[in-house]
Amino acid sequence: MDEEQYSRREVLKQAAALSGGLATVTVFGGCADGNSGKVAITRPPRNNANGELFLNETELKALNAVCDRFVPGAPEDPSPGAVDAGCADAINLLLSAFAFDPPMIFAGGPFSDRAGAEHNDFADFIPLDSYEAFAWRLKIEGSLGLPEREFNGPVKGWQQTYRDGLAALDAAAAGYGAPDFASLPLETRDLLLRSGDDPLIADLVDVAFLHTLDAMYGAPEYGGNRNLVGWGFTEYEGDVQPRGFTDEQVTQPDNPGLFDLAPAPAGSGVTTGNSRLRSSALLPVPDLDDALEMRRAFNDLVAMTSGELSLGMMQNSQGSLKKLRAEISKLTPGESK
Amino acid sequence: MARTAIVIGSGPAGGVTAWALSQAGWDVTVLERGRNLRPGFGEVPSSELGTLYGSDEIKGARSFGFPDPVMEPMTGRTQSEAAAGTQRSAQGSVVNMGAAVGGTSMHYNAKFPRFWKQDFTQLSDLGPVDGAQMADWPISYDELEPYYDEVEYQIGVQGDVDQMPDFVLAQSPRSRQFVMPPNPTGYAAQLLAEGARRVGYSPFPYPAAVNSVEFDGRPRCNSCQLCSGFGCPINARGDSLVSFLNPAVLSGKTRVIERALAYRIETNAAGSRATAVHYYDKNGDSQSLSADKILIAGSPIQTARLLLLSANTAHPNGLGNRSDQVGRNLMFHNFILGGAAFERNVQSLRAQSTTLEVDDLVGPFTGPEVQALGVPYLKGALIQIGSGLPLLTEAYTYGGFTDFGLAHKNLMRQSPMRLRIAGVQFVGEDLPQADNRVDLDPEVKDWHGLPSPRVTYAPHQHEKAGSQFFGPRIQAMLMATPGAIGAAIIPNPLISDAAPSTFHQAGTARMGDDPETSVCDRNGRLHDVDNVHVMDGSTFPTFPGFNPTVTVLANALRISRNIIDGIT
Repeated sequence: MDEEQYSRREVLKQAAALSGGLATVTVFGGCADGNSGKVAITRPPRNNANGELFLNETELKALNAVCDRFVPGAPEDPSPGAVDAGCADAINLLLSAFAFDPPMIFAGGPFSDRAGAEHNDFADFIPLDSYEAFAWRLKIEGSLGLPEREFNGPVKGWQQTYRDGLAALDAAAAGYGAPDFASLPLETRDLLLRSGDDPLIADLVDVAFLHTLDAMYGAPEYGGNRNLVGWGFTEYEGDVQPRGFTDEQVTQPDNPGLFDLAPAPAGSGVTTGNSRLRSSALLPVPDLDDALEMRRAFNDLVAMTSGELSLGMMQNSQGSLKKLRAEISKLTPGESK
Repeated sequence: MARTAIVIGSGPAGGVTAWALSQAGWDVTVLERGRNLRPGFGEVPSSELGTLYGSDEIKGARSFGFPDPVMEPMTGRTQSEAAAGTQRSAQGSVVNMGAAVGGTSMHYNAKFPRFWKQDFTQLSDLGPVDGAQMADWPISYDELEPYYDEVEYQIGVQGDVDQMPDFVLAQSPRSRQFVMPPNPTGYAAQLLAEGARRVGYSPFPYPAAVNSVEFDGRPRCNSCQLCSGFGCPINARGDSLVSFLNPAVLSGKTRVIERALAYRIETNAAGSRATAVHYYDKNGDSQSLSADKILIAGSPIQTARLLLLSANTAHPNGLGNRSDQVGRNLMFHNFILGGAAFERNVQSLRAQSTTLEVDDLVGPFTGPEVQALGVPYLKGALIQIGSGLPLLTEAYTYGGFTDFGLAHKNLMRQSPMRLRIAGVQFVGEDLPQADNRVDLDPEVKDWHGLPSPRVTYAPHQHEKAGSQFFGPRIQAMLMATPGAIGAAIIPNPLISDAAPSTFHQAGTARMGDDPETSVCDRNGRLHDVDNVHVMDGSTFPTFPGFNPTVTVLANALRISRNIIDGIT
């Protein structure tokens, strides 16, 4: 490969080197203020207003155990999971967004420094205007009984949802004779998260799963995806600006298939097609190593590769799994709506 | 003679309007409910603008550049739910358009196909359809063509006339070659295009307002993958802001007030003339402005909402609503989503969004197989060839289908959607219906306490029949793709009556010659209010199956020039 060309390995290498100095918050339980139970941060992101995050040590431990069930890592799976990615810490940052100035809601733009830019703009969070600050305080803090926040009735904020839900999980663990949720066997933790019996736990799962996905697979500047582990096993190239791709990288496959290897048909004159395509070529149907899931994927997912529609789907979910599933059901064949 | 105008909304319709009026010496004030996300706006040339956008999926999920779904909720329901007395079944973003200086064009992917000649005479050519309010446009393609040409050259559109099929050029004749050549087509789209050719279709370069060469001092697109739904990080895309609004502001004749939500247009006692626009400023305080012309460009749902919010004694059902058509005939595009699956990574995302188009299913189709589906004819749409999903979007989608835990993670690793599927979209035409409408929600409010817009919708039998007719053809095309090991389609209208999550929206203030059946005249002027014009896609009487922005721009420019010339 030409040295000037984008190299995935190079980007990952840069990212790994970067992670040491990244403004990712590192939370050390041992540094917690024993009196308040608040967690101190030893290397705060820029402009941290008060050095405190919302979740205390106990809550963070429980949340870590929750995130672990959403995206498991070792020993169940060979690839890093939510704990390795720091998802619980990233969620704690979201819940504590207004402890920072600017609040950690929207990473800056246009570039990170993962693909050729000298400065990491993503790390400079965007100052919120009054509209955005209102909106995000409402989501995170809830309406708190303030009349101006209750134009459509009371709103329970994410902070309360996490606090209540994590406490409910620890309380439920007592019923199994465990000191806390994190001490339960994996299967029991799954049972508690899936059962939906306790509305406080169900509400927690509703928001925490999508927040975990954000932290697992989103840009690392939000505090998750540490060492870009979410972009490793998924073979994701991440943000590639300003380098972008060369014309050759766009038009030619990195890993050619059989039909790419045939010579171009003489006189094909094709200008919008790949000159190496051969219309009679065939590929063997491969064995898939997880046939059931792939079958489901073919049935339900194969046609949904549309960024135009999926952005609306994501925004409509508003961080809620229930709302996301309602959106997805609009595109699911076989269900009557 | 200096004239003044207030333009409500800064998306494509508002941007080109402000630009045209400024050029003619008018003083223009643009009210935009969103904020500016391009540092340097109004201060430096468009080639030097910064941007707060980036290749960051979390910002998209958090509605960056969009109205916040809690602060400004929209509500929605289906026609059958409405008939059963359900007030709403959805609340939040629903089908919200963007809200930022530059509007939804800040994060579109700038596909710029023109409508066809036949689209302007649909009722005359094809006759009525039961349950649909079919109409001809009060203008023709030929009247619009010079404005198509002008906006394409101002914004910078790529394409190649020489590769366009004759039947496409016959229906959308062009006076000259495109501004610049096509950008390279991604590998996956090339495979899909070969499949299309195998079933006899003719893929050709998709016109797009994306730079394939440096244009107007802005760089060429480098196919970064994250286009639709993202602001362009490198300033390679033409849009309302860089191509129209920023030059207008730099001219000194236009000012843009961000975070300004227009909520009422006031008229004189007779209701014949607008005297002021009331809006909430960024502090939530009410302000008002007056001007010779009030030009509404809020996008179809917000435009209708403003007209309805402006009801007064002279206009008891909403401004310009004598016909009871304000808010009705809301149209989307009824997508058929399709995908071909592959055993290996086909790099479906690595491209400048979608660079190829197939028009072979535009129609109309009238044969016995169509009659058997219970409709007199079927009009189809273009097919967008090639698309992919970024990672977090993929994760959300699996999250909606599957459980959390290992099942989800295995899907992320195997990545059937992102690595192994190349997508297509059929942008299906949606016929106008009286009961597909925007009204004011009786209970849900925005943060100012104003009633939220409520969308009531169901696809027409034409759309359902279209899915049955076109779906198998699209699937066959996908199965013909070299290397495809499977293919599937999602025929949206057959699955759900809910309004589709798309930014393609039209109707709600249709233009026409008859004040009893339309809201505004051929120049977008409200039949009953002399100095109020609707400039955006709200005016479209029908909604052909093509991405609408270039037609929104051309029509707004046409109306603007007629205003400048004193014709209206």
